[in-house]
Amino acid sequence: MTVLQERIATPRSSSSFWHAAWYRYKRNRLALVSGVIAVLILVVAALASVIAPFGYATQNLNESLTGPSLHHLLGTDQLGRDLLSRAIFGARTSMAIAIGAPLVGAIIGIPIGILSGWFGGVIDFIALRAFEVFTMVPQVLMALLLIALYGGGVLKLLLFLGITSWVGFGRLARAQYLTLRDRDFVLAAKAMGVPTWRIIIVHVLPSAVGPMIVFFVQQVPATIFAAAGFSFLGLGVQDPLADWGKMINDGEQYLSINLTVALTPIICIALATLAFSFAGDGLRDALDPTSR
Amino acid sequence: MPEALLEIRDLHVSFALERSTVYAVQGLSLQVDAGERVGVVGESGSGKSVSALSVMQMVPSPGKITAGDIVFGGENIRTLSTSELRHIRGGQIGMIPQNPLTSLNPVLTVEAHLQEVLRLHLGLTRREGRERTIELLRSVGIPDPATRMHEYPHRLSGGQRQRVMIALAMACAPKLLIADEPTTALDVTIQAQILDLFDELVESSNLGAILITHNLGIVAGHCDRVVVMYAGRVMETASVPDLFARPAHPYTLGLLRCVPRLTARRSRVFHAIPGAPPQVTQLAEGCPFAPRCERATDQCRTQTPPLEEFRTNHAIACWHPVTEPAEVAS
Repeated sequence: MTVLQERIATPRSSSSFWHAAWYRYKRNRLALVSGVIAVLILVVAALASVIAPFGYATQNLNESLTGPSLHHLLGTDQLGRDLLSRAIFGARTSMAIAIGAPLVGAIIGIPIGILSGWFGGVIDFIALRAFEVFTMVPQVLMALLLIALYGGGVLKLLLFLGITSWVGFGRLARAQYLTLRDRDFVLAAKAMGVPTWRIIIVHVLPSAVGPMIVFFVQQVPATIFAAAGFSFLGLGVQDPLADWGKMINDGEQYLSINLTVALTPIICIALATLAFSFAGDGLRDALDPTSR
Repeated sequence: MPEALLEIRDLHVSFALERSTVYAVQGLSLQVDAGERVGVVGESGSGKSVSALSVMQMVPSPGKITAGDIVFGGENIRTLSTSELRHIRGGQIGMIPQNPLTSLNPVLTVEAHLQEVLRLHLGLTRREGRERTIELLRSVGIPDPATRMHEYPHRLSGGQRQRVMIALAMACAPKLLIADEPTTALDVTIQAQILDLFDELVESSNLGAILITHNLGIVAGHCDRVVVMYAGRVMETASVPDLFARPAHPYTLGLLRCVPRLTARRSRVFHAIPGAPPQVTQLAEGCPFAPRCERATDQCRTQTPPLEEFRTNHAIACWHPVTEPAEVAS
């Protein structure tokens, strides 16, 4: 019944595709709530230094591993650092990596995919072989190697996870352009004497960008996870910077004394991952109603 | 004789596929003068559209022009560079595509389409382009163009979209207009309106025009000269009145018989030419129409008939032309 209603209901005064997409997105409760949470996490991350009650490195060894109290809402870790503050600052590093890495991947992958899908031939052959080689080596293993060679840290982790994630964007862009290049409106634009680069960017990109945005958002939770994994292993974010993955690592040793030390970052990761996943799914359904 | 606006000489186009080669156009010759409307008729797969795309140098891969010359405005299009071609496409030659429903970009407004072409070819500024856009849309019969130009294509009807396509083709005052089955996707009533608009534009701007269609009725009403194609070859070419009064090629005769008439009293059956047009994958000797022709002889099957002057301004490629006019009327 709801599906039927969504099909029939069309926006009344939409003059554009994005209006219609927003209309469809709004109707999806789960996606809407997830989207709000995702945006909230981003806002908290951006305003971390304003919101957080303490600094992420402010220690008070007299109050280490205390449970939740009025002074420390979520308690403190083994060095007496406020967990709430660390979770908030952790959001900043986690989000920077989770969004920065796919961005790097998109910047590398999308142009390669576009060229390969549009021109085909030799370019496509080379790009496809590159896709295959990079798919063969697991992303985590590859990033691990790069970290082993060049060291960890927020910026490097972001860069390495980004470099290793371009294949997905490349494949997607290639598929998009492969199907779009034979459309009648592309032929018509060509017959009007529009230069090729203009057709690629002005005429085709707006039709291809929807799935790319969706893929980007879906990459975010995967990257949160990967980054947390690296930090948990001690390969990513280094002390005293806060990161959810590293906080789990810290808290794991003190589980029996203060559960919130590990629980706080775990809940944060779960919440962020789920929020971005559902928001991404909602976005997919909204931007491409035929994909259901 | 003044130089023709467009002259195609002995054009050959073939598609090299994995296992075979399709010879889509074999020796098409065609001339279009300014102010003249040339109809190209034929069944599906007879090479009409490929010929039109050849003029724009836009034959889709793996198709290739293997021989022949296309002379437009004194220049051989086949020797032009990509940037010179871009100047011709949309600037000198306008094209009206087959399907207006899918030929407009769904994410661009009507104005964006027109502005782009105007800026590319005429270098108009945004404001000049906007004025010209309104003017053009008005000239093709879009009501309230100043508001409608902000619409996205899906808000327009099929006929309106084809009008926009015509405005696009006409935007830069081309010398030649190529219309590839411009009305196939439209309702009959809209078809008539679009074709009337086509006539009007050709006449007022003294354009040369190529009208590709499979509908002989359209040719009769909207063309001056006609080229009948079959399996990539020209079967017959004549002035429109001459062709309809005295068709000489059995294939043309067959096509004319296929047109249903309201006036014919008793014929309850539709005439049809038996068989289907061939996919030309080998260059065989003989008339390509021979297998479906009731007049075919051994000569037809072994020797390819050349395209020769049969009457003044009336050429056919047939060994056994139809001479008795009585057959047509039935």
